[in-house]
Amino acid sequence: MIELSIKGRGGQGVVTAGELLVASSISEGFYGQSIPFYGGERRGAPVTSEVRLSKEPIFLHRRVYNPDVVAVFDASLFSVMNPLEGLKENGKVLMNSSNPRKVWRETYVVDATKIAQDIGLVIAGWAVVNTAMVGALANLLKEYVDLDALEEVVKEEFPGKLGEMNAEAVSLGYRGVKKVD
Amino acid sequence: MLVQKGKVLALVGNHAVAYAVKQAKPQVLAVFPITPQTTMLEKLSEYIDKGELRAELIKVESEHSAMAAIFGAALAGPRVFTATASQGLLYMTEMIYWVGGQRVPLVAAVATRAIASPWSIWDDHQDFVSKRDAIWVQMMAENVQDAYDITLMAFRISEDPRVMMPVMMGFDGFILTHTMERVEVLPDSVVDEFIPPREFKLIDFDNPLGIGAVATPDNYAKYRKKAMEAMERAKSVIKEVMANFEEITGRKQYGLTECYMCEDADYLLVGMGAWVGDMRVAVSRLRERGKKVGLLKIRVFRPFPREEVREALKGRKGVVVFDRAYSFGSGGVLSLEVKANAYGLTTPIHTVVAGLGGKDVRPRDIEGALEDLTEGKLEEERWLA
Repeated sequence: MIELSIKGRGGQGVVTAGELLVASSISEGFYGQSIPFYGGERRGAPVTSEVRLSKEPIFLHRRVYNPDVVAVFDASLFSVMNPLEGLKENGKVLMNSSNPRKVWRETYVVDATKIAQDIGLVIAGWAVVNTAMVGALANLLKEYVDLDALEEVVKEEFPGKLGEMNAEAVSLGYRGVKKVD
Repeated sequence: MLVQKGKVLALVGNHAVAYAVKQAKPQVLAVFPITPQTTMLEKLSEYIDKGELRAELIKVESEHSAMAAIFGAALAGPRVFTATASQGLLYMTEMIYWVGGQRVPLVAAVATRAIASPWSIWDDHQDFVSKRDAIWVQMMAENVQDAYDITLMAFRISEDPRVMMPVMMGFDGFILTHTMERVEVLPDSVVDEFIPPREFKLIDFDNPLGIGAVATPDNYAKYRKKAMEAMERAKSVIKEVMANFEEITGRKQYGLTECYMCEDADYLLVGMGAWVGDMRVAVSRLRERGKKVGLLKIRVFRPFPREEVREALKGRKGVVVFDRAYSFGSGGVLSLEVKANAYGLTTPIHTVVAGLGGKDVRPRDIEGALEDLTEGKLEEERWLA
């Protein structure tokens, strides 16, 4: 079993990101859990979603305290909180950033904002980064998430043209992820 | 019957319950939003909009009206459903008792949530247990699959002529309502067979009768006694329906309770709801360390499985009940139920009050209390607050 923590801001699609990963893993015959944490969320406020992926049934319902992977949707979160709290020593961090910076022993980066903007995934001035981030995460979680299955799930979740655009973001995120040395 | 393998879906708890309700084909729904139940009723209205569910959807002005609306509708014959939580359930209370007293078959889901004040949107069981004396069958789910399964069984149990009683399907707010998990859903045709068309119909224009009339003391007492007898009968009906459901789905149903790793257990943990999964993990870990511990899961809260609980307690060196609801000046609500059925036994019964207002409980918290119990270090009542 692997545990993830997805950190972002209200409106960035943090909860949907977790659900897409879980749905993809389940469509492959595995098990998964997407656990959103709801508080007084509003646009721009820090939001967390947690994910478990497993090849065996999952019994736990507690929250995730020591994730194996943390995905940070917005690097500015570091100025208001520690998004890496509890991360395992040998865990991985995936950052959405145009500025590769090592924040953990194993850090990966993808410019999800640019991917979203290039495709035109912008709502009310906000780049919708979740699908590019999910694509990048799929690359780090190959044991549980298959890229083709994920693209199918994305097309099912977003009907029509929007589905094509988001599937493209997934694919570009998957290919655009880089390890920071 | 052959085991019917259905589709595997990824669903959040609210949508899994909505899916089960859609398959049960209710004809009347009353909706009033309250967190964390709202997305369930939204999904049901979406099904109606898409033509996947043919039902009358009544938008009411309060939870009291929601229950009143489906009460009236149910008397005329249709299958009905609503859902609520916390303050909504409290506001609905008067009608909850009317429905129970009238012995109307219907199903309501309760996304359990703490009660104000202070205000909280998060999970505990204080709302659910407060309806224990309303003549409702009350069942509680452990995970999203269980919530789907129990919802389907609830309609069958409720409408069984030996029961004729409303059924409340409780599942932990957010922890299950908003968590996405793997769910195996049955084909519609199998559900059609499992839940036959509803036959209950009290309102009949050819044979008019009064409903809700005053009962003289003598009649009132007789009426309540009949309800008591029906509630006792419900135990065997629930077991029968579960056995049938297990046959169809291939998913183990256990019955009113499940005893996990109990056989040679000296010490027993008792719980109800979503944290039972975390308890399984805690018990397994302690077993690996050679501790003889087991877990008793309460799946049906009303009628309370007195016989099973008493049997499970016998011969244990110690018991700890984890409670998500409290009766002030007395003790944990589930603990009180367990203790009442341990009358005459010498087994000491401890209480851990935890998970109130959504406070997360980890297997290690459970493990800690259980380990303290085995070492004689657990207080009679411990609060994880």
